[in-house]
Parts: sequence; C-alpha cells; structure tokens
Amino acid sequence: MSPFRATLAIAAKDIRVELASRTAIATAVTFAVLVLVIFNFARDPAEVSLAILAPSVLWVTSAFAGIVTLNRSFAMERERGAMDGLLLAPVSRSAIYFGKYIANMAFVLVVNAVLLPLFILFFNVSLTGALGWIALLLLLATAGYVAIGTMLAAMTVRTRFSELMLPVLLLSFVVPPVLVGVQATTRLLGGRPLSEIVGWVRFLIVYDIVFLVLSWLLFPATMDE
Amino acid sequence: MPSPPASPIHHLLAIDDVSRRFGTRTVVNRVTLTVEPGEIHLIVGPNGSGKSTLARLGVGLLRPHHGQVRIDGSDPRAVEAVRARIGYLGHESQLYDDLSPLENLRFAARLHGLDDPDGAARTALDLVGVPADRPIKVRRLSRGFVQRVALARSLVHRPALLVWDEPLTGLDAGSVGRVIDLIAALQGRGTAVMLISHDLPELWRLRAQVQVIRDGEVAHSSDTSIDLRRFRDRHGALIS
Repeated sequence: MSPFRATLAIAAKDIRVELASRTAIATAVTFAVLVLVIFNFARDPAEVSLAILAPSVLWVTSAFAGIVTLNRSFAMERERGAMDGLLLAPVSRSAIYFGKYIANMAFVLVVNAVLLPLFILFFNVSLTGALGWIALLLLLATAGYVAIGTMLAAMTVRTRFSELMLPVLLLSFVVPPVLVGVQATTRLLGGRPLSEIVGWVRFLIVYDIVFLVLSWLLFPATMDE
Repeated sequence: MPSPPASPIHHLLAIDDVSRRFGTRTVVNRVTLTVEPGEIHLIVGPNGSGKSTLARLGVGLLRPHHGQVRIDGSDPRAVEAVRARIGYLGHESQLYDDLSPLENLRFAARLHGLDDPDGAARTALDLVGVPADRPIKVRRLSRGFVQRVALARSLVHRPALLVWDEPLTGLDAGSVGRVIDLIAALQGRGTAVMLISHDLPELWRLRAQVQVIRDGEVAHSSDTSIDLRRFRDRHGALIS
C-alpha cells in the first residue's frame, strides 16, 4: 500500500471515530468557552486593558484546547489494543505518524475555528484587516506544536498517567509559538505595520519545519516495545 | 558444470533461538520453532510461562533480545510487506469502540491495501457469523460478539499465518464449534495457525502439533494424535 493512501486511511479513521464519539473536539471546545468566559468576567475593565489581555487569552486558550485534543489521539489506539493492528499492518511508521498528524491538525483547527469568533464576541475586538493574519499565525503555530504533540502523545500513551504526562512534556514546546503569537497579535490589534510581524511568521515557519522533521524522525522509536 | 547454488529455504515462520527479557526476568528463553503452511501449532503451558510473549515475538510486535524471527525469510519488524502475511489476535480485540464491526474491518482492509475493503470486511464477518449490516458500535457488543469480530479482523486480509492468543475466550459453545471448524477449513487451504489456548478438549479435535512451554522454554513437543487424557496424565504438571 502506498504511504500516501495509508496516511489518508489512518487520518480518515481518526476523523470517523471523532465524529462518532465527539470526545476530543467537544471537550476542547467546552474548555475553550469556559476559559474565555472566566477571563471575560474576571477582568476588571478599569484595571486591565483589553488590548494587553486579549492576545494572551486567545493564544493560551488555543494552546491548551489543542493539548486537550491531542490527549485523545493515541488513547483511542490504547483502548482494546488497536495499536497492535496499526503496527502489524503493512504500512510504514511514517504513514502512521502523518495520518495521526493530519487528523490532529484537523481537530485543533476546528477548535480554533470555533474559538476565534467566540473570542471576537467575548472580547469585542475589531479584527478588521487583522483576521487573516491572526488565522495564519494560529495555523502556523498549530502546525508546529501538533507535530511535536503527535509524537509526544505516542510516546506517553504507554506510560502511567499519560493524560498528565503529555501536557507537562508538551507545554515547554508550546511556549515559543504562544509567545510569538501573543507578540504578533498584540501588534496586529494595535494597528502596527505588517513589517513588524514578518519576522514572527518566519520564526513560526522554521519552528514548524524543525519540529515536523524531528518528530517524523523520532516517531518510529516511540512505537518500539 | 557446477550446479547453481540452491536458494535458501524460507519457513513461513521461523523463530530461531529467541529470548526476551523484561527487566532482569527472562520470559522467553532460547526458543526455536518453525511453522509451515497448513500446519497448526498449539502452544500450551501454565499462566506466566511466556506463551503470549512468544506470540508477540513471533509476529514482530516485540523485539527479541537474542535470536531472530523471520516470516518468509524476512524480519517482520523491518519489512512492511511481510506483515501482510500475518493475522494476529492477542488478548485485546484491536477494535475501535466507536465504530461498528463493519467499519472496523473496512479500516483494517484499507490498511492492508485491499481493492475491495467493503467486500473483504463482509466476507470476514460472515466467516465468524456476525451480521455485517448491524449499525451497532463495538462498545455496545457483548464479550462474545467482540471476540468474534476480533477474529474476523485478523482474517480480513486472508493472511498466510494466523497467530491467535486465546481465541475461544468469551465464546459460547456454538461459536466455539464454528471457530474450530473455521480453523480446520483454513488449515485445509494451507493457512498456518499458531494457537495459544487453555481450551484443550475443544482444540484437540484439530490435527496439530503441540508445544508445551514452561518457564519460557519448550519443555515438550507432541501432537494431537495422542489421546488427550494420556497427554494430560503425562504433562499435567507442565500445563497447569
């Protein structure tokens, strides 16, 4: 079987399981909504400026909701030993990795697609002209941390307390894109020239390439029992 | 004129001097076993004797610390194509709870690159007597039904070698008879089967070689042509 077809088959299966169970996306969206509500009502408008708070809330919520989603990725393979079926299929470990990666990207992007309008609604921010750039930043940041998160989810799924291990390990890798995202979003919302965020976009592209390649190379080792 | 060198003979499954440790404990100790097409190997032994570990080593799910495993002359851990020759069912069903039996088997068939995943899935479910069109999720099935679907999953790509660990677990008497008949039919078609089970009276109906495993080693080899009572009298201490 071609690696491409195997990758698509695995991604399609994960999406089918998610559509049937609605576990990962529903949990992540609920989490995101709750965080937005808490930050929105806990803020004292006179004390904390919306321009300072809003970008941080957007990025922290997006990152944590993404982590919630990733936790489910390999947990479904652990239940009933489905991982054995994947490992014994005549497909490469790379196909398994990229199949999982594509499905995880789809889930996190769906969560972001729900999060962004809610963020605009709750924080009453005007994203005219900046929406496309913020969406691009979210896409680039997500592509990077989902790459490393997919590999770490495979690594931690066989450990005890894997639901706790994944966030702990992944958070350190999520910090750079979140910091970059906050900086760039602050500038975009402040109406600063686009030239100020080009460097951040380049950083995210490099981050994505480095961690996608690294995770792809390390992934087979996580499958070895 | 010198004759050309003979091509090496490849066994369907060759477990060659294989050992595996977990920590300091050696669970499988220098086991050698070959399986050819149409053979049934019944692996018996007490709990914790290393039978399931041997099965996982045999299909390439575990890496041996000593020796080697070859399927058709290739390492199943390294050669993807060779894994298509294996049908494995361990202690877990390898099914997805939120998919139906048919969806589970279609996915397995797609992973094996079959041209007609739907047809292959329906054929495999029919072999174990599971209605294909029941739109019920696996999580809602009874233990016995799950086991039958799991058996079907391991058969969906028509493997040359079946490795089944406790295949009769959770099955009612009718299903047990059906599975035994299925194994005999598969043997007739040249499929090799490695069975790990404690259900000796049922499996003794098959024409099989028997390996008794104790403390990770093959303690005795026999076959099902001898009377089961005699076998138990002779090896009772080894298998219980």
